[in-house]
Amino acid sequence: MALKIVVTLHGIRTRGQWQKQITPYLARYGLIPYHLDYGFFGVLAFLLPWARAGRVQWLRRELRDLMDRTGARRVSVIAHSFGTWLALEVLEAENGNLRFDRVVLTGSIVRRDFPWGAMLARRRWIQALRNERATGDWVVRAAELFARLAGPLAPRAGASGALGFNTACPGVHDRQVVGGHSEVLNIANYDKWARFIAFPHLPDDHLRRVRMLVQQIRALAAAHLGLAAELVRANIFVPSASALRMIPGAWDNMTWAPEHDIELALDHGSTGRAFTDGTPFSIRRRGAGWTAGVLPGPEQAKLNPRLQWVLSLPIGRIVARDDVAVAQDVVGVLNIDGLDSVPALLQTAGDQTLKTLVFTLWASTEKIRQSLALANMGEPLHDD
Amino acid sequence: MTTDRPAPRAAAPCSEDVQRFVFRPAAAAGLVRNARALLDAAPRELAESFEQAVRAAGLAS
Repeated sequence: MALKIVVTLHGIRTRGQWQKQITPYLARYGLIPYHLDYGFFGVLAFLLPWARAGRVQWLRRELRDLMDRTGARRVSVIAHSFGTWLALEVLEAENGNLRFDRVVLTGSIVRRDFPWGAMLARRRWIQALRNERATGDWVVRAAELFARLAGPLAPRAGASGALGFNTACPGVHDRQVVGGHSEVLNIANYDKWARFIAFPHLPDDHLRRVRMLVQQIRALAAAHLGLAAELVRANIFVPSASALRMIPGAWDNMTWAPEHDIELALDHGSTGRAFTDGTPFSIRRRGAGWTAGVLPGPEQAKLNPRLQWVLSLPIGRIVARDDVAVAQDVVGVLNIDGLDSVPALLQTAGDQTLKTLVFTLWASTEKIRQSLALANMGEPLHDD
Repeated sequence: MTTDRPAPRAAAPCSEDVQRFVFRPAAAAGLVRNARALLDAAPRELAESFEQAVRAAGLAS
């Protein structure tokens, strides 16, 4: 499992007491905290362009050095106030040379028209954002006012920590509380931020429920495909770091360990097609085929050689679109697959019994979707 | 009720056989009825999960 480093950044007129308090919450989910301290930075310094630029250069050096020494390809970030501005200024200045994993902004003064669509979907410089804002935060409003009035001397700042961002896009999660600038640093939020950053690792509450449903769906599939249960397996792939990867532990009968680390391109095979298209797909071996060119070599080598077929079910909200039922806001793909032989039912394209079974399995993923959607935002399981 | 059609092939050559499952909401009543029959003996949690999905999709009868 790749270790996840979490950089924390404080705001102005503080040395970030919250950074020390959050450490045990991050540790609980196996996250490695790395608290940065750029010293006491006053309001006057914030108003001076060269003072701000100095802190941006300092953070660039710190992050590059951290990634060089740890070998991390991405780091996650939790930042407050001026720290939010610093983090995203550095990200844009690095122009793709540095990438963030999952980011929590609290009391953000990042401009409200920040290009999240480009950052998340197209460039993939960030995996996901949780914006923790307080409606009564006058500090971030003052930062926006200053940005408007100060002309060329002003930072590109905005009241996103009070009003949110202008553009909504997948991967941007907005959380709102009533209160002032420090209200978002409420200790009650720390566990949620840790959960958010740890994703796709699932906390115990979600993992228990997801695993139970995966087991039940696998059993249902095996029974109706006429297969021995030990020949049928199930796993869940979710997007992580520009690829589809299995959620550790959210599987059943996956005893071939190399497969646990397999990486799939976002649009590859039945898993990728289900993820991008939002409809179920199936794939199977045919004779000696499948092995050549299906996956890049290292990934192909991880596959269980007994694997014969895969049924990929997109996990998303099922809706009718253009007269077809599709999953929208797809959070992952449930794969049900099998060893040694392809069941006869899967070889009869157009068979109504097969279609009914696939639809039944697909629609039965709804509670998995709910759990993954909550976990992806850092929220705990709500009993229903 | 439902139709299957071959998915567009990826540019890279491969010998896999990919099948896309397409479900038409207009013909969902029979599909949901048959699916419920499959879930008759299934655990309650799974049946609830299914019902929540078809309700949210407007497919429940």
